[in-house]
Amino acid sequence: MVLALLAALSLAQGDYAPGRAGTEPLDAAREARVQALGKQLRCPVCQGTSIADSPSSIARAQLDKVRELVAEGKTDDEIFAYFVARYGDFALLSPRKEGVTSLLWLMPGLMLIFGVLIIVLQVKKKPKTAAPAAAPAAAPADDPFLEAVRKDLKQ
Amino acid sequence: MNATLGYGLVLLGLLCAAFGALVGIFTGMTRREGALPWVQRAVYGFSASMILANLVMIGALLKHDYSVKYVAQVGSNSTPTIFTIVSLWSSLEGSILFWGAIMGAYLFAFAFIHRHEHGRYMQLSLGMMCAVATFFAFLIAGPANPWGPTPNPIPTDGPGPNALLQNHVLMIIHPPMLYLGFVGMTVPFGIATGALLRGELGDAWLVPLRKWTLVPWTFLSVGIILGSWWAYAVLGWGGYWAWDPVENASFMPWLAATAFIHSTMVLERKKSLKLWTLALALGAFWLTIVGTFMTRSGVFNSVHSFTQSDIGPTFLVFIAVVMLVSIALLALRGPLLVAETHMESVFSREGSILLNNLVFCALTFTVFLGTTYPLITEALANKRISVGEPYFNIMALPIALLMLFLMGVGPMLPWGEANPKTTLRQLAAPAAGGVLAVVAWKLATLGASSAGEYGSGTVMAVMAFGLAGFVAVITTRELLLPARALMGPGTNFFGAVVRSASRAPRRFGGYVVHMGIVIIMVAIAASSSFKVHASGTLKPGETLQVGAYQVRFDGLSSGTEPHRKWTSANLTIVHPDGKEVAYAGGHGPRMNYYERQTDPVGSPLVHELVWRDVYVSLLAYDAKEGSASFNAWVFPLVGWIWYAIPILVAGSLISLWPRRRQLLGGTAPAPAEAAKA
Repeated sequence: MVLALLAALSLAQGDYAPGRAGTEPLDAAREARVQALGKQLRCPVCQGTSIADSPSSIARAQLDKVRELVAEGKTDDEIFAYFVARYGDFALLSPRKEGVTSLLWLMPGLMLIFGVLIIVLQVKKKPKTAAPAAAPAAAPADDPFLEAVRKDLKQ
Repeated sequence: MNATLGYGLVLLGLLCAAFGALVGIFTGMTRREGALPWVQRAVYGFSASMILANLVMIGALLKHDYSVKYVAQVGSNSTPTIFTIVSLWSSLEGSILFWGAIMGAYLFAFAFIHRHEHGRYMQLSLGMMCAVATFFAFLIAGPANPWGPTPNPIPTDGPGPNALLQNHVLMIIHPPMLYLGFVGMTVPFGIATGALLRGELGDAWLVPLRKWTLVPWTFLSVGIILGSWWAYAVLGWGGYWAWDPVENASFMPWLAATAFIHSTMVLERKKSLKLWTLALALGAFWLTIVGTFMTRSGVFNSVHSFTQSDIGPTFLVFIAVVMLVSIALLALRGPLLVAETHMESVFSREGSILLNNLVFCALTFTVFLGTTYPLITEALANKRISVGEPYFNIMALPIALLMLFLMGVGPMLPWGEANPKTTLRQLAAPAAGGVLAVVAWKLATLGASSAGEYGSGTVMAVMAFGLAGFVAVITTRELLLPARALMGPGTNFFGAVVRSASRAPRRFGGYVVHMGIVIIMVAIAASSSFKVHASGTLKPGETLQVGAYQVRFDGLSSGTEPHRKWTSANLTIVHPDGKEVAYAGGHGPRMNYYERQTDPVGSPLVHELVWRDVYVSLLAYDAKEGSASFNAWVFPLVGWIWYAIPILVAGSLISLWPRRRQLLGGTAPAPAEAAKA
């Protein structure tokens, strides 16, 4: 089991085809948008890598498409819609916050809130028996004498 | 010959493990403690046969014995010797076999180190570990058998191991580290289930339980970081962590084990949280099995593909069995573990550790949810969606900041209940440290950002710097304060630090690890949000500006090595002060062409400097025109993620150091000092 290798494999399996150079980057501000959008879109031949990160030629062709759409002045939503219309929700690396999928976004937060509530309630709750049942009557838990006797008994 | 011998050894191992499991659990439950030597012999038998089986396989690989199926699958006459040995774990069957050897080593170490321990503790624990070993021995003997005969005619050469394995030296050490981390979780699982079966969690369990978790935790930490380093140095996309299912698979057990290591402190000191702590140990083990399943069964290619894999269904059954056994044990035996104290306030050391546990569990859950969600929707609704890096980043960043915050506040709070006034007073210096960290970063990057030398950064990153400063001050204080108390005439400061560390090694080591984590967090924040990216196609002699550096393209070169051919771009990195560093003749970014692999494998150029890396990958080239396209980045501080490995390891080793035996009488540290531990 070689973790990360599988991912790497699928990265590499995307035909790397050296020779295809891709379109030239736009000006800094718009190119930053291209890269940010690319981060949100799934590379079709990789395992969960974005088209901005994948070196495969098909991902780079898709990034060129994003660049083209940005150059045409399309908004982010329009560009996402373009890809969803062709490839479905699968193309979005960040799932939409609607329907059942919103659970994905809400559940971790809810878990944290419930966890804090449980901890606070547990701490507030007074213990049922005042004295811990397991501790023998007088000896404090860290009595070195008792420890030494216990240790000897175990041997 | 090799195949028969190897398979025989595996069967012997299976027999020993099954015998050990049956005898250990049965005599443990019926409290016949005289049977312990038999369980120990079974463990030694399992260990010896598994390690020998691996040696036989390495021998077969080295001798290119293609009559063994696995050798025919991954061997090749042209592969360098070192990669021939590494190919032991380059494919499914071999890696499960290797897994068996590590399992053998762990079980041997545990059984041998605790050989004088009373049967009442050991039989059940060893029995449960043997039960896990039985499963893996069964996998090797059956569904993932590497020894099968090669169909005739027996080839004279093989395809060689996966090209990516041969691409970088890190691939030699990264997988064994992860295996050592994953397999090692079997030991705390055995101890914890043994304790539950026995129905008592005596003081004698506590230290071994913690230490035997810290060992695999350390390997897992190193393995994960090395894996990210490997991805960074080899894959060429400029990142080191993509929240890929295989990465998540290694991260989840690490998170659970980290939570566990923290909650053992409450367990050891307050004798409470017993059930919760054991649940974390069982959870960490369960997640290693789930992680192995996720990476090895092909389930992420498609939900429906795993049934076609050799080990998918077997693993799924084992996952279900482990889960059911764990839940049943916790439910039936848990009530026997009585908490001996009650937590008085959340505003205390134990409260902060409990919150730490909650936050770690929340992150584990988030990663688990995000990783498995696409599988669930595909299986239930037949709808394919993706949950990728953007989701994990959005969810994990706030949780990581929360962790940093708790890492600072926790060590500051006393056990029991904190006094708000004292706490506020103690907060002043760390808070100043946090502000200072942000100001220092601002000053260091002032002007540089606007000149395009660094990215503009995010609020989250700045918060991370602030919190890192806050934690660093608190941790340094906790590391050095006890030493100051020990300083007297005749002891220098360094001697006092060593003495305070040897008096409370766990505490000292823990804070050293914290320092390492702070460094990693800062490196992650800086490299991800202050990076600069540029890309373009260059003709020879042209340059690409990235941040304050220039990348000059000096033309293409190519060459041949025994197992591959390559084409590389000769580059010169021009520093802002005019210094030039040339990478020519294959040292630049390149494409490697392996025999019998159609697609080339790229490898980037990482120009490593102390405070930043200049990273260039070759995207494409045109041999006719001599032009090439590049992606280039400047990543501030990125190397510190891996430079922190020695700090983490050193901290763990200090923590594992056995404390001087506390004898009754003068040599025992006074309770007040011991309490600080």
